Order: sequence, then C-alpha cells, then structure tokens
Amino acid sequence: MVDTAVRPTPAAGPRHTASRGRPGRRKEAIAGYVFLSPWLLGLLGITLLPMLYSLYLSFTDYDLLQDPEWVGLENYERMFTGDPQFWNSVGATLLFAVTSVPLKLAVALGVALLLYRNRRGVGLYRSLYYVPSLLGGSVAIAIVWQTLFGGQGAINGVLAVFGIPGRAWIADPSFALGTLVILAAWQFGAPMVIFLAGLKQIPTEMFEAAALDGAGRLKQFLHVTLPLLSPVLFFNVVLETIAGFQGFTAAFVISGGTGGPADSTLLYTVYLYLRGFGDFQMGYASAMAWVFLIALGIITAFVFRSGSLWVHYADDGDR
Amino acid sequence: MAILGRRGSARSLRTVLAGAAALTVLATAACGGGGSRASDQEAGGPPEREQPVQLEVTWWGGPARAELTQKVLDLYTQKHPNVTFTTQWQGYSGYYDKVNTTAAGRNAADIIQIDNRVLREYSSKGLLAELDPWVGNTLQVDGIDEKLLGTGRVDGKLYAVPLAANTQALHYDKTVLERIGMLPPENGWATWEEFGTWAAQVTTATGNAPWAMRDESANISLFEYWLRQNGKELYDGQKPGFTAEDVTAWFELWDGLRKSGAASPQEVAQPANAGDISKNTVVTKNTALTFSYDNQLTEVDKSTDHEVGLVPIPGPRSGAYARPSQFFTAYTGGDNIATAVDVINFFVSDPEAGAILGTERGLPPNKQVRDVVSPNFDDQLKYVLDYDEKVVAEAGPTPPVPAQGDSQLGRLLQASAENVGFGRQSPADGAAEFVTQAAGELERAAS
Repeated sequence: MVDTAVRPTPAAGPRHTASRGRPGRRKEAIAGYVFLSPWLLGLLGITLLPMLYSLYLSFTDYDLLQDPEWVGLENYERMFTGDPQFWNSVGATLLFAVTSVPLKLAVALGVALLLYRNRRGVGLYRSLYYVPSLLGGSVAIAIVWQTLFGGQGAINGVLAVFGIPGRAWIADPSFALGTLVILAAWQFGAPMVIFLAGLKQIPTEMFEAAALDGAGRLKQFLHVTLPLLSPVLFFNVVLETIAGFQGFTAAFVISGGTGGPADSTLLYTVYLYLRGFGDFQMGYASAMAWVFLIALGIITAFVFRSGSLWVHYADDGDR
Repeated sequence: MAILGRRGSARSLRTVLAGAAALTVLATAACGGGGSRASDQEAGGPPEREQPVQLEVTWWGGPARAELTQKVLDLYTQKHPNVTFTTQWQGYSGYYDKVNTTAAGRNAADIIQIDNRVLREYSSKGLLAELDPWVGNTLQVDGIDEKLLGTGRVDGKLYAVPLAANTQALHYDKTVLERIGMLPPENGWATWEEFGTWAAQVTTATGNAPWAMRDESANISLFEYWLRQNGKELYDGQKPGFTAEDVTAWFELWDGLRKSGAASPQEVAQPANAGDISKNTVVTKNTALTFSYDNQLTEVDKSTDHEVGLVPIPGPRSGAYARPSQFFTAYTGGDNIATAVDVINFFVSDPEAGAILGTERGLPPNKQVRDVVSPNFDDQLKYVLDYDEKVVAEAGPTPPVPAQGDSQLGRLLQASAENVGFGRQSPADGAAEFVTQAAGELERAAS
C-alpha cells in the first residue's frame, strides 16, 4: 500500500502521441473508452450531474418537498450580508483548519521520525499508530471523545490525580473546538505512513556526509531531512488542508448535532447540513456548498503557489 | 527523488478536489424524485383488510417508549394479521434531521411521530395527509378534548392526532432532597424569587453535588412558559411574541440564579441543551431538579436508581397548558394511508392499547380510554395523572401552533443563552442579537 502510494508514475506521453491516427490504434482507443465507461458513467451520473443540479438549486428557494423556485442571487446575497451564523461558521472552520492541520502534520512527522529506522518490533508500532486513523472518522470515536472530555470524563480524572481542577471541555465554548483539534491530530496515521515512505527514500549517504561536515542531529534534520522531504510534506499539506476544511462527523456528533456550545463547533459543513436537512433550506445549502467549493479551490491554489517557495525537488537541481 | 512529480500531484489533486467537491455537493443534491403513491388512494377510504400491508412507524424516545409502542403494534398485527410493521426510533436530537432526509427522498415512514414544533412546517410542505376525510369513520375523535384536538389542526384542517397530553413540570431527585431534608413544597413556589432562595440553599446543602437546578436559559420551552407567566406568547403569528427587553430579563433571571448558586454554571448545563433525555441532568445526577414534562417521569425514573418526583414550575400556573406531547401523523406518500390512519386510531381509541401505553407518552388523550384504563394504573402512573389534572385545572389557554422556523428559533436561543451563560456576551447584547436574528429567520421561513 505504501509503495503504490508513492511510486512515481511512468512517463506516458511521447510514445502515445507518435502513434495517434493509425486505424489499429483507434480500435485500441475505443476499447480503452469501453473499459473506462463504468467510471465515466459514474463520474457523469453520480458526480457531474448532481453537481450541476446543485448549482442550479443554489439560485433557487428549494425546501425538498415543493418544486424549486428561482430567486437569482438571493441565497448568495443573504449568505454574505444577512447571516451572522454563516460568518461564525467560516471563522470556526478557519480556526479548526489552521490549528488542526499543522498539529496533525507535526505529530505525524514526529512519529514517523521515531519509527523510520529499523528497530525490533517497529512494524508493530507502525501498525498500532495507524489504528486511530482507521477508527478516526467514525461516529463511535466521536462518542468516546465526548465521554473522555466530558465533565466527569477520564481526562478530568487524570488531571485530578495531579491536583489540576478539570472542566467540561466539550461543554465550554472556549475549549470545545480544541478537543476537536486534538481528535483530528490523533488521527495522524495516514500522513505518518506517507512521511515514513518519504523518509525511507532519503539516501543514508546524505546524512553520513552531513555528519562528516560536523552537522548535529538538528542541523541534519533542518538541512537534509526537511528539504528532501518537502515534496511529501507538500502532498500531505494539500491533502490534510482539504480534509481539515471538510471536518464534519466529529463536530456533529460531539455537539449533539447543534454546533454548540455557543456555536463554537459550528463548522461550515455542520452549518450547511443544519440549513439543508434541519431547516429544509436546500437552495441556501447548495449555495453554501458552492461557495465552499470555490473557497477550497482558492485555498488549495494558494498552497500550490506557495509550494514553489519551499518545496525542493531533488531532480530539479539546485535553485 | 521524484516521489511526486509536480504534474502528477497536480493531477491527482484535481481528482481529489473533484471528489471532495462531489461529496459536499452530493450531500445537498441527493434529493431525487419518485412520485407520491398517495394519488391513487382515495381519501377517507377504508383500511386495507385483504392484502398484506407493511407500514413503517417512526418516533423519538427512550427504550421504555420503544417497548410499549412495539407491544401496541404487535397487538394490532394480532388483530389484523395482514398488517405488519417496521419501526425506527431514536433520541430527540437529530430525530427531525432524519425525518427530513427520508422525506426528501420521498421515503418517509408511513406513520410519523411529531410534536407541535414542526406541525405547521410539515403540513404546509405537504408532508402530512389531511385526516378530516377519515374523521367519524376510521378515525374516532369524539373522546378527545376539543382544545387538545385543535392543537393538531392547521388553518382549520386536521393533520395530526394527539397521541397523549402532558404538561410542564420540574422533575426532582427525591433521594437527594430527602437526604438533605429539603423536599420541595408540594404545590411549588409562588414566585421565581422564592424558588431562587430555596434552590440556593439546596446547592449549599449538597455542596454543588448535585446543583439544585441547571442553567435552563437555553430551553425554549421553559422560556415560553415564563413568557406566558408574563402575559406574552412565544409567537405573535409569524413574528416573535417577545421583545429584546423580555429576553434580557430572562437572561438576567438566570444570571442571578447562577450567581446565587441556585442554578449550575452553563458548562454543567450545556450537554443537556440539545434536549436528549439521556443527558437529562437529574438522570446524570448533576442537578436535583430539571425542567421536563410530567409524563417523562416514567422514562427518567427508569434511567436512574434515585427516586424522582414532580413539582410545578415556580410562579403562576398561567404558563402551563395541556400540551399535545406528541402527535401521530400519516405521510402523504405512504403505502396505505387509510390503514395508517386506522393504526393511529388504534393508538388513541383502543382501551387495550391505552392500557399498554399508560402515561409514558403522556395521559391518554381520549377521555373514554382514560376512564377505562386509569383505575388499573400503578401508583406512579396515578401520581402523574394527579399531578397533570391538578396543574391543567389552573393552566392558561393553549397557544396557537408554533410559527414556521420554530427549530431555528430554538437553535438561536441556545447559542445566545450559551454565549451569555459563559460570560461571552452581556444579557442585553445576547438578547438584542437573538431577537434580531429570530425575527429575520421567522420572516424568511414564511416567505
């Protein structure tokens, strides 16, 4: 699994273009499309058409049960000018993504650094540390979290041993989002595995050379490991940023479907859900989904642009 | 070391993005068609007796309710073997999301339990079958008090049959209050001030474990009760029936109760704000009292090893009203509406069914049934019945069916009350924000 995730794709371009137009090749192309068709039909039927339909719905007032009624830009106008809860959810989502993504990646990288050298039983540890990621997105874990961080939960029990007064972490608007951030960071398994694979590809000679030049552990990490790992880091940043913005399950379950306390865990997706399925405002929810899609596209584009500043590709040669 | 070439990652990212986008949008766009099957059924027709019919029934509630409801459904199947049931039940929080989602897929349950908070919304959106054509034949409503039955009408048309009636009450933990020698006065407290003093003493006596009462400023049902005590209503048609000053006074009332120790801090109260009975603070033993409804004594008593009692809410009884605790409604797209109506009728008019249901959902709405089954009630059910009759005798008029957008109003009050309770906003600021947003949402919901 690890290997397939990071294996470089073979260059497929040139040979293909040279052979275009020959009749035998056309047959092959048809066969290709035939083999492609299940996926293509899926893309069109399950992804593209509903997306376009939701774009249409975003310009309507639609309550699921009656026919959509065209209202033009009203939904968008209301979102940006007449809905304080919308901005509240934008703020909560930004705060969540900006804190959870770096924390999760830092933990993933830290654990990967500990686990990438071959020691006894390292395979077992790698598997164990991956387990939270397998469970992480589930409702069950969110409920466990609710219990752990509740007023009479295990976290407060542990704190009490050290004489630290606990609090109702999940019920307090100053801390509720923090518990979600910790839950997200705890699911560091997937980026960890990708980091591990990246670390394995760094030639050991690099470290030896650095050590000969007198570089200590920290310098080796900063000047050898990080630059060589930057493409992998970049990949993880992109994936986790997108995932971070889409956080839903934990916030929904832990807040009992309300985004509370005091709307502090009202993430964008939770609010979208409440508007669509709680209030029957599907037109408004569709408009929210499209604003979300565009915003996420812009954010990702920014991350990509920033890549040229800090991502180092060994085969580019030094800049 | 090209672990991921730039182009490669750009392309895979595009796929990821497309997938991500699809998921978000799918969530909102999955709302396909599928025609209503009701059109080929005759309104007011007889229930199906020959062909097999399977009906889905959905409700919110705890295990006790599930057990009793299942027993009644089994009894119906026993009498009409062609009719069988599938059931779905869950806690209150998230219940309507589920109903809305299934309704969106034109696949809602045949018989849906609702409360008055969504009645206007559901009926105006064509989700609920109009029941008048069956009244007098399949549906017998003569025994139901006209005021109670009226709560199931919207614009003069009957959409919902009250399954039971209840009224507002405080539940108290008798075991704890007996231990500290502070059982509440049987008829409650004449004023909120009097209650506040008493409750602060309870908290002192127990040393905060438990608190006397939880901070219930986020509870829109108790807010409504308090408004009614002050001669107002929650709604004035499709507008809020209260002003920012009212809400400020409400938040300040709770601010005072929190400061005196009569009410818990909001952090103890917050988990219960979503309204799930499993988070009820008497059940979790965080408080000695909590707002509830008299019929819920059955469920609460079952969920805790302490003894639980009922006491009226402080202040004048004009806040109380005989409340349709739940309705049964028939889905317009159901498999067989006539049979669904017959099942609903069975729940409210059949003495055997009434004997099984007891007061778990509330008092039997049908007086004939009530008279037949109440002599056989156990002590707890008789206690609930006595409480209800005592309070309802002095209760105020039944309020009109709530405005559309009621669920948003509840959510907004909760957010503002939590902001105020945690000291993030002053009572006046929280109130002003709530009233402005509430008015906007209600106006929008009606358009």
